[in-house]
Amino acid sequence: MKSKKILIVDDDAVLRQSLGLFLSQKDFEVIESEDGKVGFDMYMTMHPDIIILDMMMPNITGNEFIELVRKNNEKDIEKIIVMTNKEEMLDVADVISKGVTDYVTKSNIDLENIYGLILRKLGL
Amino acid sequence: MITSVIEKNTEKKSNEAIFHVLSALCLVLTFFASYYLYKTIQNQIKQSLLDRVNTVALTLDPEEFVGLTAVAEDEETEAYKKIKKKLINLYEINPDVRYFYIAAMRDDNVYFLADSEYEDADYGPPGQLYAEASDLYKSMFYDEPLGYFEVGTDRWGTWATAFAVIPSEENQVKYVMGIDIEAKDYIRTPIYFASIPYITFLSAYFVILFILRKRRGEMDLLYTKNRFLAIASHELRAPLTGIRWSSEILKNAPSLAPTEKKVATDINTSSINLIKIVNELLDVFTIESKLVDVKKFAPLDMIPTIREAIKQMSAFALEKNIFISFNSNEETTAGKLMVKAEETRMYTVLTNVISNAIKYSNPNSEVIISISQYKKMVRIRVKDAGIGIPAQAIDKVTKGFFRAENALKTVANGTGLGLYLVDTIVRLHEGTLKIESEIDKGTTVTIDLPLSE
Repeated sequence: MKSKKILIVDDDAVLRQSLGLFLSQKDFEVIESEDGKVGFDMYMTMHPDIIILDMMMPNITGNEFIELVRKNNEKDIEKIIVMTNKEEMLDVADVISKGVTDYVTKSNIDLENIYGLILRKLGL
Repeated sequence: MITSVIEKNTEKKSNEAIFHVLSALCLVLTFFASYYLYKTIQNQIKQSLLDRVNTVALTLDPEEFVGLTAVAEDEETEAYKKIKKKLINLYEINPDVRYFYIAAMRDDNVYFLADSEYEDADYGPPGQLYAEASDLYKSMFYDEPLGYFEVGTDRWGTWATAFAVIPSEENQVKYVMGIDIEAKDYIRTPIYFASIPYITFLSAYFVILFILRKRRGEMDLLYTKNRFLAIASHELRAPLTGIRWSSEILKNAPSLAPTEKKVATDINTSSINLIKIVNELLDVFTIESKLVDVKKFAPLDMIPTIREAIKQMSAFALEKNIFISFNSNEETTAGKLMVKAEETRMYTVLTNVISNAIKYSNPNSEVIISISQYKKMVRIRVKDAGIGIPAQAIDKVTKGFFRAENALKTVANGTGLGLYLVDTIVRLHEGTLKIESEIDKGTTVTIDLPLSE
């Protein structure tokens, strides 16, 4: 099986790298970006199967990222998993209205749960 | 969350602006009230002096004056002595009045006929010329007006004076009665009264301003506290999540020895517990800032909500072998016990109360949960047969960061925020929380929430 490509966009280095390490141990091909703009370029050039997206980032926010994806290809919205902090509950309502169906609260979830979510999303 | 708190804060400041506008309006009203009071009091003094001089004048019989012509020789007459005595009597029973006197006119000049002065060194005999008499005063002798009031200065001082004509049978004016009071009584007394509205206004202004400032200070403090804690808990959570995820990877690493694996697992468990506490704190701040508007929530059926909360707690209950019973009387209550509430907050309330009941119960005992309608409220009761809360601690358990001594001995962990959160959420939903407890017998927590119409 050709390994699935996962893009992680999060400015928090520890979270991004531990999630990246974990997912690569699960035999995914992981690409990471600490910056929304760079992350979007990676999405455009590398066509990931899943995008794990933090909401609060410098340069462009998670919301703006989602809008850019929508403009590029509406169907790709389904590839996004939004990661939030608890204070951003209102933003979550906002992203759900944009068509994002999966979101996780970072601090309340185990990496195994994220793995399960990715498998479900990929239909594996 | 932070933006919302800022909005709330500016709202408080604009309240003060409204207060200042209202104060300005009140100041205008105060000015008019003060002016009105000044005029009214002055008028009253004037009117009462005129009334008095007229009353006194009416009691004097012109017959008594027969033979008196306001000359020095009058002094020896019986009539003069009688009138003089009468005036001195009047003076003695009217301590606010400085002089009573009667004047007559001769050759277009006013002469004193008799006054209320004692016959001491300063005493002036009858027949003295009153050179300072004003034209208006003189007109009293011709025109016979009802009375006349003036403030004037003469060689003895400045006086507020009221005059009245002593009626004569021939319908001809011969004598005029005068009463003098100190001019300052006429000017100062009204000023004292006129200052009352200003004093009232100023005291009210400063008292209200003080209260507003104090409340704003408290708001600012709460705002700063909440902002600080919101930021702190976010900043805490991010690295804690880092520890959580890293330790999760570590504990599952195949190369670890059993001891190392246990240490990694402990790190992972501790970080998860720490995150729970931070989340609990954040809940408190969000609720304390009252960013939740209860009225907006859709009615929530409490029976399935309680069932779900019990389900969430069942593993914990099983661990201590505690049986949870739920008395819902569903044949009559089903679908009727609705409360306008946010589901997740209700779970916070219910799971906190139920987990407390389990936590402080003796193993193998029962926790009884019931729901009913009580007046216009939905009443939820959670009754345990646990260690109970000491009487002196009951009021404190809902205040936050407090745990009763027997609770500390029984269960080591806890922030003491659980019941505080419950109380805050219940109050936010316009409900009440009541805790009844007896040591070693158990605790009953009663939550009343308004029934959704």
